[in-house]
Amino acid sequence: MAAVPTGHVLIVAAMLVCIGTFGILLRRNLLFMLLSLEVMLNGAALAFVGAGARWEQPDGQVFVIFIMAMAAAEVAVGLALILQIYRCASSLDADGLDMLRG
Amino acid sequence: MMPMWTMIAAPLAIGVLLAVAGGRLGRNLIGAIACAALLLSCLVAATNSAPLFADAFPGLASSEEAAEVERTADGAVFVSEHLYTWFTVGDLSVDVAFKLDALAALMVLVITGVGFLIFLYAAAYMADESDYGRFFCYMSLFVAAMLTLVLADNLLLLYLGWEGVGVCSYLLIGFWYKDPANGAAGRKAFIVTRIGDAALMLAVLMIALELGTLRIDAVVEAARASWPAGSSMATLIALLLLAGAIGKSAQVPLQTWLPDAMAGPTPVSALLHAATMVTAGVYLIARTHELFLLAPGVLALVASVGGLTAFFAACAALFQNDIKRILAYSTISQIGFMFVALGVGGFAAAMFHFFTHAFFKALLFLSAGNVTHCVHETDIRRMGGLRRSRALPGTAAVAAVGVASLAGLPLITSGFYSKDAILWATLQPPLVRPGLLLLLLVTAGLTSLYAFRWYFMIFSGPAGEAAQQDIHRPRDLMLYPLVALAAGSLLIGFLEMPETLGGYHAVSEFLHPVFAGAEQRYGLGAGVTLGSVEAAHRAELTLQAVAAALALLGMMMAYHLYVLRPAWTKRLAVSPAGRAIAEILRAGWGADAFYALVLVRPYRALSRWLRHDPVDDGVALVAGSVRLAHYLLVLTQGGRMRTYAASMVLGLILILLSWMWR
Repeated sequence: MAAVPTGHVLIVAAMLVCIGTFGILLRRNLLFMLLSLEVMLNGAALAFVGAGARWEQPDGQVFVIFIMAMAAAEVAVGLALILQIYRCASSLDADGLDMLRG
Repeated sequence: MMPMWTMIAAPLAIGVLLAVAGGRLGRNLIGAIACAALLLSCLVAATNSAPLFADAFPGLASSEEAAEVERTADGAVFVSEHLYTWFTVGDLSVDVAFKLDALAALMVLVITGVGFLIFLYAAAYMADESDYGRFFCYMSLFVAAMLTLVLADNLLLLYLGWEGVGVCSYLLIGFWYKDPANGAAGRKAFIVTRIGDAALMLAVLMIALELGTLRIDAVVEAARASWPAGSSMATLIALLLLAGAIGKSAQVPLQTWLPDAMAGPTPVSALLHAATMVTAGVYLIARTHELFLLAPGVLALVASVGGLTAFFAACAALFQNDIKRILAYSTISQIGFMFVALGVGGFAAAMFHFFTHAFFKALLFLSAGNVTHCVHETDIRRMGGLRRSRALPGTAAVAAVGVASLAGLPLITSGFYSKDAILWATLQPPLVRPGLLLLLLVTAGLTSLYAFRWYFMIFSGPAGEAAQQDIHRPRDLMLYPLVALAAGSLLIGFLEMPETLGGYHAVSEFLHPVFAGAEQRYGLGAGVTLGSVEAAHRAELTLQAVAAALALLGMMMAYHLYVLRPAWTKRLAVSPAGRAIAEILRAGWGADAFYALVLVRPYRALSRWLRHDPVDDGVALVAGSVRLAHYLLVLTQGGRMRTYAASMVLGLILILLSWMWR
């Protein structure tokens, strides 16, 4: 099996992170912002996998397991928060939620 | 014989009583106890002065009474009374002790005697006043303070009385405090005299530091022992004392407060601002005359200040239209005469003029009080012809006596004799001031002119607007004291007759022991030597004739200008030059405007500026920049999550870029 070059893996990972970042910056719906955050996490996970393959070390894959567990926990907390915000503000528009402005 | 302190304690007790319970006592009771207290003071003063009279006039009393008096080193008789030691600081011990010598006795008798008559008058004059108790409270406290000033044995007690009369003057000028103008006049009087008071306090402190004592006798002796004549220390102290006297006696340049002080009730003007308080400066200089003799330059300055004041104030008096302001300027002018007498070493002449002036000026003020009380008008241009109104013939008669005395009509009035004594004193060696004599003669003519202008415009001529209306009679009690004062104004002059007219010198003989030591040491009062006694008499007679002629001339001019041809006078007054002169003089030579320009307005501008705390501005700058930074930083806290995220990304990009370019 021909090995995928590490550079390509990193490019895809960077693209994922960028897509997630832009998603967070451009989307106004909290739900989609959370989704974008997950995309960014996956980008990071992919970079770990690529790096683990490049140096033939298991650490990268271990980290991916960690990231998945953390992402699951984060989604659970995030969705709970979003549900709560929706109850309070009857909206998921992130720009409308500026009660903490100085 | 009652002790001397009762003289002060009686009015003081009444003052305190009225301050505490004045609102609960009836009017008649208040008036009665205030007058009774003053009468008691007067009697105590008389009985305590008896030994002095016995000493001065041995024919009057038996010799046993003269035995109990004490004598100073110069042989002056005095009665002293030591109450208690006020305080002791180091070597300096200040007693509450009183000393009654001839000078103090004359003052005390005038204060209590004239004061009693004015109190009687005030009891009737103020009868419609709601604050009857407060008025007599202040007046009684004033008398107590004034007596303290005069009887004080040491300079600090004198200063206590000096400040006491200042406070009472302030309170009484602003007696009708509901009109803010009266309060302003009171404040002005207090602040202007305070300049002098500060100088006097400095003098007292310097004397205490330099000589280690404040007892006036001891001070004089120590000063004579340690300071040579004309030394800088003596000059400085004499200057400070003079500044104090100038402030209290309303002399140039601190004269501006007295005309405004007329805002007070008329009995106040008569007692404080004519008869007694304003002559405290004269008393101070006479009391410390030895210090002034040690500083011949300052003594000459006393005379010059007095001469200038007399002239300037007489000119200003000529153009006033307020019935009391004329008298106020006249008071300033007459005290100027006294200062001249002091400055040429004629201390007895100064005190004699104080004596007569107290009577005729109180008389004039109380007459003015009767007129304003009955006519409800203070502008003399709207008066006229009041002599013929049925309500005021008595007032007109006594006012005529007062005016004649002020003008110095020859032979019959006391003013003639006392003014003559001052004029003659200017020619006495060694302090001969012919220039001042000339100035005083001109002033005497002006005095006669403005005095009779006052009388004629009020009482003579065609009936003015004020005479048309219903004029009610003054109360009887408002006339009797005036008759007594008028009698005094006529008769006191005969106590002191010049050499040319019999040479009877009761007043100066009475005062002689006080000034004898100094006169002997400095060769004062030796009399004018013009070769022979006859030549001196001829010179004095000439002077009297000139003074008499000037007084009569002034009277005739006033009659001509204000009775015979008032229309011509009015034309003169509205001509451009006449109006300009009149306006300047009516404003008292513009002294108020000058002080407003030089002192008051710059001070106000400064205080307005300081009110905004310019020093605080520096601190406020720091606070302001911090606040500005706060506003700028607040802008970054927009509360929008996407902005935060974007800035984080931007920051990350910047960090990455900076890594790449390194």
